[in-house]
Amino acid sequence: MLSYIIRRIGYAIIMVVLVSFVGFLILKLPSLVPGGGDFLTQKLASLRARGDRSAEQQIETYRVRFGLDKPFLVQYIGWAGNFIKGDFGLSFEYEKPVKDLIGERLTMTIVLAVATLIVTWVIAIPLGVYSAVRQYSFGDQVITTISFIGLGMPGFLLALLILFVAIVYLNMEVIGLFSQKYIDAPWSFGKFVDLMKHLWVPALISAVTGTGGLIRIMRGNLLDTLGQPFVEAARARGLKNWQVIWKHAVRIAINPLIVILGSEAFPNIITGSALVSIVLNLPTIGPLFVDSLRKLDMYMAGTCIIFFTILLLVGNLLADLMLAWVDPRIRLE
Amino acid sequence: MAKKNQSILPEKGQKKPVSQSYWSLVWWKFKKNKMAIVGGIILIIFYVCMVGIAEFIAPYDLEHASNFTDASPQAIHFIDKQGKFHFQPLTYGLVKKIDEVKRVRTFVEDPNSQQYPISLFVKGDPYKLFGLIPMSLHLFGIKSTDPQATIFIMGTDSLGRDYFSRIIYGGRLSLLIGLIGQFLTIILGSVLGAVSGYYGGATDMIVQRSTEFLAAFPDIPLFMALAAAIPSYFSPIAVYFMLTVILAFVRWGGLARQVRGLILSLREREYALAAKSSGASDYRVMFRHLLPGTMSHIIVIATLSIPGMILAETALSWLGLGLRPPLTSWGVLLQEAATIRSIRYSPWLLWTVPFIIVTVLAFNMLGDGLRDAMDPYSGR
Amino acid sequence: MNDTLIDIKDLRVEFDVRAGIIKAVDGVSFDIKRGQTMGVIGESGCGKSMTARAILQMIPKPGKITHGEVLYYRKVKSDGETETVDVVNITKQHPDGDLIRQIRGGEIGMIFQEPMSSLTPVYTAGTHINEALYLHWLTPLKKVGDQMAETVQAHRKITKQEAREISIDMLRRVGIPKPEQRVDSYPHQLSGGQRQRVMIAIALSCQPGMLIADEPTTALDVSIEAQILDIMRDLQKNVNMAIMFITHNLGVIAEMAEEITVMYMGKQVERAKTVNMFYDPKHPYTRALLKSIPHVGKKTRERLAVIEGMVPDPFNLPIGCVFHPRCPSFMPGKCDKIVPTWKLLKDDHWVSCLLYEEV
Repeated sequence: MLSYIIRRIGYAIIMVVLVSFVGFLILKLPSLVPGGGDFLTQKLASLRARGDRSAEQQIETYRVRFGLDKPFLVQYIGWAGNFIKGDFGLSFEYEKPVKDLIGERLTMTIVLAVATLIVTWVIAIPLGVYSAVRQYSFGDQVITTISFIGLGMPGFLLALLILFVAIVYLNMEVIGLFSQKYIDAPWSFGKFVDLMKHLWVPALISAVTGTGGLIRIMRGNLLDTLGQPFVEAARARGLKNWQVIWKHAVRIAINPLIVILGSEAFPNIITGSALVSIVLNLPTIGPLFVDSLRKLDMYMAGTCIIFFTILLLVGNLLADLMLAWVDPRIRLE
Repeated sequence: MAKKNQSILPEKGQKKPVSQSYWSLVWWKFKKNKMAIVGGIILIIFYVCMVGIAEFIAPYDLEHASNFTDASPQAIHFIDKQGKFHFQPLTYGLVKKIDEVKRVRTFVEDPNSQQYPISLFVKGDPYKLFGLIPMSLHLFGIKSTDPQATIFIMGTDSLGRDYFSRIIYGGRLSLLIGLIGQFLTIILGSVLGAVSGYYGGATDMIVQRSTEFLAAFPDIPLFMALAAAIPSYFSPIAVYFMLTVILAFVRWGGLARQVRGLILSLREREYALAAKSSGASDYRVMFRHLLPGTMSHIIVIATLSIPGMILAETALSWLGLGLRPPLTSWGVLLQEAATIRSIRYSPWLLWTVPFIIVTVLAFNMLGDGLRDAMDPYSGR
Repeated sequence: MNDTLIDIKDLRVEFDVRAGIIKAVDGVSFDIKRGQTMGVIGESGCGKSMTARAILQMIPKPGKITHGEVLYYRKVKSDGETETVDVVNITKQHPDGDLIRQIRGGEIGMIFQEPMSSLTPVYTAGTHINEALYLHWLTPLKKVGDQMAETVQAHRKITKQEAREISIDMLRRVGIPKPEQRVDSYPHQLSGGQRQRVMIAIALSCQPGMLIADEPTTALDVSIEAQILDIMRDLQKNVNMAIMFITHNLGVIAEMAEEITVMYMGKQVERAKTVNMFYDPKHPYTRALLKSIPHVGKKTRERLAVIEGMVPDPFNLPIGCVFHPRCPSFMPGKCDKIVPTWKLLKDDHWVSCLLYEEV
């Protein structure tokens, strides 16, 4: 077991390094392509547009400062080397260390992701089980319809619709995580309440979009499992109906869901919420990332990609570990 | 052996045996799924109307600007302001409305204006059907040269362009990109997946590692990064093409993995071994025997992945990383629609959203129905 | 004293599917006595499994018991020591009710055909047995004082330690080597024969009065099958347990059963003591079944005897005797018009055939 974990972690580290390299390369592409440009090209254009005479000199200073005058590999190795030490480079746009800018947002991102995960699962599993056990009942039809609609529903579009309803009909403030007066205020009960008032939107969105797929999969798996002989055998031993369903059928049916948890649900939450965050202007990594891409703010964008990747790989690993813990067939291989 | 006491053949009046070929079973089961049929019909309508004959369906040209900027949608009335019923619906003209406080200028319906009856098959902005046939007939409109005679059923944008028309034209690009992108993905994914699954060994390793590597990249950030890398001097068409390729490139991994799994299980089945032992080349076994067996799965997976592609393009374009004007897709339309200001003062611009959602839902219903039907031997 | 244990009276089980109604069990009546082994034989789909499940009120949806009764003569110890027999009408019990669940597993056990998929993959052999023990095994405490005339028999649930000991002991009794280790094995670590032994151990751990065995050896190869059958016979002797043995294998049933009921298309066609059944089969179906067994010594050139025709479409059953289209003794005008009745011939030999009826 322990060797398995070590192997996976080692593998994940390799992946992160590879991803960082390829990511860096991709971000460098615009400047390597003839006629393309990078951050400085855009900045030069904007400086010139403002009539700044010393535009070219400023750009040169920046170029040296950001290390963009060095060849590609040197840039990468320099950045990667610093990364390991905890220095994620400088943001071109804000001229502040990337670490500072991300730090505040990273916590929020993780908090949001984990909260979403928990909410989604607490809702989806029981509904999925109910749907399967009372197949074709009225409740099942309702649940199936709702989950179907939620299944394909893109989070950011739903966010738009919610914004629409909130602004036009309810006249509510739903942007961001805090209202004006609480943004920089220290933590207090009032601030917590304010957070809740804003958090319901992302929570609602994730509940609708996230649970849809899970419910259907839980339902499908459970239906398959209920037809298996060991379920009937358990019933023949005199177990109560709910015991048969939860202790035996669900116990088995839930295994594929754990795999999905790690390989799909968690990554989706991270990336999906990135888009939702952009709509709602939440202080997570998402909006920062998109902005850095638009401006070709290389170190910032690269760091964001790496964090996304790390979160993903961690999610995968945790899911695999959970699966091994829960299913002895996997564990003993 | 024929029995002596009763004939096995159906007697007169009994139902004759129904064709039991795999595809006829699939079709029969598919037909029973109402939602899937509805989804399929919706998609057919969308694709025909938006990709095929968009110019005919849309009352205005894509870039037909007017003075009626930020006009709210014109209602279609069957009963006029006097209370009289008209068989032919009508609209009222638009009048400017200025809100001093919010500093907003829009156009709203003017109840005192003339009535403009709406007719079918009206002459309007000229176009070339399918890029070839010059026509100017539109599905509906107002037969009049009065500049007040406008039919903006979903309002206009900040340049006075009819939003409904723009949604229709936008649909053309969005729907197409999903289809073409998915098609490329299918080719890339199934070929690589088949080769990887069939040969195993080094080829498999390489393909496997590549898909794992791609999977380690969170996909939306990857899209975005790749899209951001498209040089800005590329022509819009080239950008469109590049986007399609990027979408296909990022997503082939999932399909390849599925195909690989299927091929692995089918490879050892008797019919594959039989084909091989009768001298078929690897290529032949793979493509004439194994891959067709996976076809049903591939179709289902593909259908269910198209909405993802459409949404990816929509997200990218909306963020400014994808298509750029004058190319208009639903994502581009969302750029204008998704600001706080727009939502507050021109909320009709959000009409794009239901179209996208319906498309995604329709694909899901269709794909779900296909998936149930493709396994005609399963219970329900 | 009446030693009937189970009495099935004119049982009918129907399945309402979209294409129509399937009569899985259509008027079956027989009884099983304590300690007796009743074999039920028939082709796949003849209703024997459904009959078994009816006894435990476990008919799966969309099936329903539409007619008839299953009576269970239950021995209870009322006020202390005296034994009386309670007649429980199983068909009237709620499928999830307390009484039926006590009976299931605790008083009537059942083992199934596929040993692999009949054990929950994530639980060990021991866990399975423990589960059954916790449900059914109450250890009587000593009498609580001597109050008045009423002696209260208090019970407490079994402890973990006791349960484990019993589990290991059961595994030993079904012939699993190193039971102290095997008790912690998962199903996928056991062979087919071992899994079936585990199933028997689970079923027998609560000392039921009857065991229903639904094709227990069909999925096992012949040598393992022989061992399993031996174990079943031994255990039965030790506790005087009745067995309802369901199979389609004539050889097995000849070994195990004292009495045999033959079923076809949901109906019972013949019932007799094993010896009589084999030496003097009355019903043409039974005769054909016996004839189709290949004999050692027969001329090699001869074709195997088969039963002509095919099992009829369940939605389009033949009129009259349901077997008539395939019957070598078919009597036109009678068998295709009249439904035969269940008749006692002699010597506890029952049959349902117009050959033995005055029509």
